Amino acid sequence: MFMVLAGIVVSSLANALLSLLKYLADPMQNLPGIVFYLMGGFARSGWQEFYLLLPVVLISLTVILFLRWQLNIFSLGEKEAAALGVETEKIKLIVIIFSTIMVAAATAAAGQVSWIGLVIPHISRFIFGSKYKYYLPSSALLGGFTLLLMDNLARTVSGAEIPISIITALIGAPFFAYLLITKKESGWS
Amino acid sequence: MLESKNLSFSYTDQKVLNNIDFRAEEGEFISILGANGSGKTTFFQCMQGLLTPDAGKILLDGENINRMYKKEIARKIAIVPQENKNIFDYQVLDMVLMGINPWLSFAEQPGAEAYKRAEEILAELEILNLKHKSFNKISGGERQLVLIARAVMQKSSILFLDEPNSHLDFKNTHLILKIMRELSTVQKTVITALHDPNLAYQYSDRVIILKTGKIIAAGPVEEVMTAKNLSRAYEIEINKEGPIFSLTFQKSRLLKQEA
Repeated sequence: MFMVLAGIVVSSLANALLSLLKYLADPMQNLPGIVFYLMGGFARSGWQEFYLLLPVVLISLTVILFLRWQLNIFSLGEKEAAALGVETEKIKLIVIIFSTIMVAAATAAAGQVSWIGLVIPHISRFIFGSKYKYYLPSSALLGGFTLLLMDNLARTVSGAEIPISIITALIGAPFFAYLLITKKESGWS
Repeated sequence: MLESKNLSFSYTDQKVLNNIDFRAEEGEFISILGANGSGKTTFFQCMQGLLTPDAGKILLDGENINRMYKKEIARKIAIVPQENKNIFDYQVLDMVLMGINPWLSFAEQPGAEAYKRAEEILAELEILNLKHKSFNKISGGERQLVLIARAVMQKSSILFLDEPNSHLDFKNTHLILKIMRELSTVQKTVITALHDPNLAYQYSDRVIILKTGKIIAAGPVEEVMTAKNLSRAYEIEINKEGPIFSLTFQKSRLLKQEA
């Protein structure tokens, strides 16, 4: 509950700052850019972004993959993990730092693409199981593959390219609702 | 060896443990008894280094437990939690393998030897057939056995069990306690919180009775487990006939009204 409330507080603060940015931006020159960036998409990303993103993602993913065994134990709950000798505070800090760096870099390159991060790991866990050894790489690959698919849809459905976030949300939100309703017992809720 | 000296603990303004002196020797089977809310769980969590006491200290092999790394504690103390389904499911073999964690370095994975040992332990507990089954899909008794296998894998000298029989049937309760009893004879210290005095009487070497955060009786089973001590702990008249403790309730007010 605390985490949900903390999320609401942080996102509302970030939204306020974003609104301020939009308000101050030149409505002809900068505002459309901000709006399209927030909708997400790969239209403005090229190889330059790819090469910038590559080392950040590779390093962060490797660090987290190194901790795959400890993360398995962590998923039993913090108390049980501590009783099994996992230095929970240390692991939490490392994982939060590196995943934040990774997500921030990806968002900077492609804008805000919603639902992928929420839905894909669940599908991946459902197919490949809970062991982080398989779960982490499969989530990353499945996420990338899904984005490619969505991007192709975004480019071909209509004459002009639709912002990808619109498509991911249109497909992701109902799919997640379906998972929540049907898979309640297996830890999806 | 695990001991507490003048251990006191409170949640904000409510004192839960008051001046507890406790000592567990190698190879002992110790049961903690007490009514709901007597401080058993808090006492357990303090002794496991999960809570820091307000006053007094807890020594594990002479070292203050609250200054030790979690890994160091886990090499000496294993906890068998009440069996429960996991949020994220794992195979039985993986659950047992997790017990080797305190002996691995920071980013190390369990090797072939650990797998072999895990299978040996499962075979000793006669549940090797479950090794590829999902932990969430086996029965409660089997889950408890898997958690014991994990604790054995941990190679620690002290085992804590918090109400191990809370979800178990008659047969499984006695099976688990029999195994713990056997483990205590191979130089492991077993410390368990139990709700049923009859089980404590049957399996323990020593019993500690808690009431409102204080030890009201402690010592060998025959000395401590008297009808008088138990009546005081549970605040109801308890009788002892042979090795069996029993109690009689008055007819509830609800039934009297109906009559």
